[in-house]
Amino acid sequence: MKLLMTAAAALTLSLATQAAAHATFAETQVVQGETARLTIRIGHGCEGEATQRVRVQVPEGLIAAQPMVHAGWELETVTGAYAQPYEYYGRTLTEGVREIVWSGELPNAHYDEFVFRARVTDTVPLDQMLYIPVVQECANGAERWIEIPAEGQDAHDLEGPAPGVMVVAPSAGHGH
Amino acid sequence: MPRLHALCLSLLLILSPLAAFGHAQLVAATPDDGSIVEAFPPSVTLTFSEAVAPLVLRWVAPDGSAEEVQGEARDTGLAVPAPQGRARGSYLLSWRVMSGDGHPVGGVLTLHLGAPSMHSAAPPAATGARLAAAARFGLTLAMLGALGLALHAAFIARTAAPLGRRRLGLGAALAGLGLAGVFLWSHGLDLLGLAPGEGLSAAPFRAALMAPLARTIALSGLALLLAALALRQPRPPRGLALLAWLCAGLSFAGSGHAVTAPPAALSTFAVAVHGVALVWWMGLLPPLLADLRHPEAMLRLQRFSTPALGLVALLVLSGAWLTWAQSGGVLSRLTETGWGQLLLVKLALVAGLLALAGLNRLRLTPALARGRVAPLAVSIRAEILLGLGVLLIAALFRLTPPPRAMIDTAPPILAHLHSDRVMADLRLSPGAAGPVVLELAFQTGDFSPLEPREVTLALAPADGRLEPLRLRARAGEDGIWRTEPAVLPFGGDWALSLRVLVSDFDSVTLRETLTLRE
Repeated sequence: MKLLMTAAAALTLSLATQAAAHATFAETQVVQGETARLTIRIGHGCEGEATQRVRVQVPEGLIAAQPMVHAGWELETVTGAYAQPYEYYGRTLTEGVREIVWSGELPNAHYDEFVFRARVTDTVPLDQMLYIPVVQECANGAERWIEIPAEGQDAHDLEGPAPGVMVVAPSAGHGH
Repeated sequence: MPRLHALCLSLLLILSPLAAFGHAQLVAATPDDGSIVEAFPPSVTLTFSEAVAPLVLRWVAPDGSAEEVQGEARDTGLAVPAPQGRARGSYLLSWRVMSGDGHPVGGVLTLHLGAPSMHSAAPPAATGARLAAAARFGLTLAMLGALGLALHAAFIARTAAPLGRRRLGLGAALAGLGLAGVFLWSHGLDLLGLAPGEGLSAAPFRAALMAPLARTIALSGLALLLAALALRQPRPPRGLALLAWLCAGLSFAGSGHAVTAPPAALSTFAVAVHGVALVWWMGLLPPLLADLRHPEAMLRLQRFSTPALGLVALLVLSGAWLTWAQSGGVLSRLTETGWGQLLLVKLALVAGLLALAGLNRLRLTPALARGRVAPLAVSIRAEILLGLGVLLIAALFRLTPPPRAMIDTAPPILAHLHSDRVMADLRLSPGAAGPVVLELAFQTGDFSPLEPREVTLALAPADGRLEPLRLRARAGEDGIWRTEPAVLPFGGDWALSLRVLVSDFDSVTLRETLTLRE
């Protein structure tokens, strides 16, 4: 039995190279130049404790971010200046939402999803993973999904990998 | 191309198990991580955030020896049998379990039995250690007895040896072999921290055979066997006796405090020379005493005394070097420690021995030539008694570590880790296996001050025999980040992963390999 489980573990390990992160996106890709909907999936708390806050940092290149309200949770946003001005429907945006914070209670045993949308500008490199740092805060501390793999590094080797999506060209996107 | 790339990636993501977020996490342990216990409970319980299956569970004892155990999973708990060892110090449980999602998770739990391991501190002299000291003394006596008779027959008498003496020598060799076994066993008891009653198994032998002491036992055994082979023949062959002598001398250099004093090669050589000289001097005194009324007494004394002059000079020289090396170069330590006091008594006895040897050579041997046997006989008896005292003290040394081991801690390991955004200066002290503290100072990549939000470290032996030991550093008033003392049970290469939280969403991980002394 133990041998079987070990073999199963080895097999799973060999397969689960991408999706082993703790906080992940339901989406696998976003389309450059379009507005993307991103769903953060939270599967557990911090060492058994309930999650009290979910925070997302909107990376440079994602603009006009809008969080989705979450029943029973308070919502705040932190706005700040962008590193460069962006054209958005004929307007020039120099600042916008840089951080989204949902506050509430998610017991360790339960699962929840937190949604926001944002325009993926063409400053975000194509055919590369876009990593978006997420922090989960609990009464006893925090789980930080903020590590971005270096060139040639496997995200699996990181203890707290940031969830990511692949940025694809408009023609490659689905649902058009 | 991008299309294909994206397609492959999507496919990969679909194939990957989607339930893979949600690895088990250690929620609690009983006894708690880092706790000090007076005795181990029958089992240690790890509680996880979900049900787990044990993969590898390994205890690492204070001496660095490892023991694999089988755990029993019950719901979200995992019962791990307590370690076998009963020596005081820090025990590490390296655990690796499989979460419900099939993903392995690992970590290290540290428990201190009695007290945390102290770096190179003397373990309390347990029964095993005392028994081992007694066995060491007995083994040395038997070896000197057997070797002395073999050397005497081959190099001093140079005629057919009387049957009675040869039988005595064979008896000493046999007794020595038995005592070597007792020495091995009692050393194993000492290593495992067992009482003699608990050690009636192969375990102490196995433990001792892994230790450097096994070399001493093997060389002593070989010396005794060669001496026995030589003594089986009426005229013991010189080659066998010489080889036995060499093995006996080397056996003293096989293990022990003295041979590890840096520089180790020189210290080992000094101990071997010390042993070779000791065997000639102390081994031959009893047969010479018995020879005093022999018609060839003068000739035999001459044959003893000519090489003895050079050997005693080597004995004194090697002894002086070892005293210097073991005291760590500070002779005042001799009076301050138990080890030093023992050594001072030994030196006083050796001074007495040298005085008697000089007296014998310059005054009493010429007196023997004039037919006065009694004064030399008395003097040699006194010499043998003093020699026994010296050997007894040498055996007691194992109960007290030399000042070098207590004061001369390994120099700290210094390392500079950097990325383009974070630079860290690390100091790990002492730079050897055992309890260590890590200290860290941070700067940004362009030498500006940096105050991290959090600093966590993971340390794992490069050969993977332990899961990563996770530590958290805290900032002191002086801006230096320090960890709690952690026990790193073995020397060698350790992979350090240092995670610095620069802001809420920004962390930098720096990696370095640190090489610890044993």
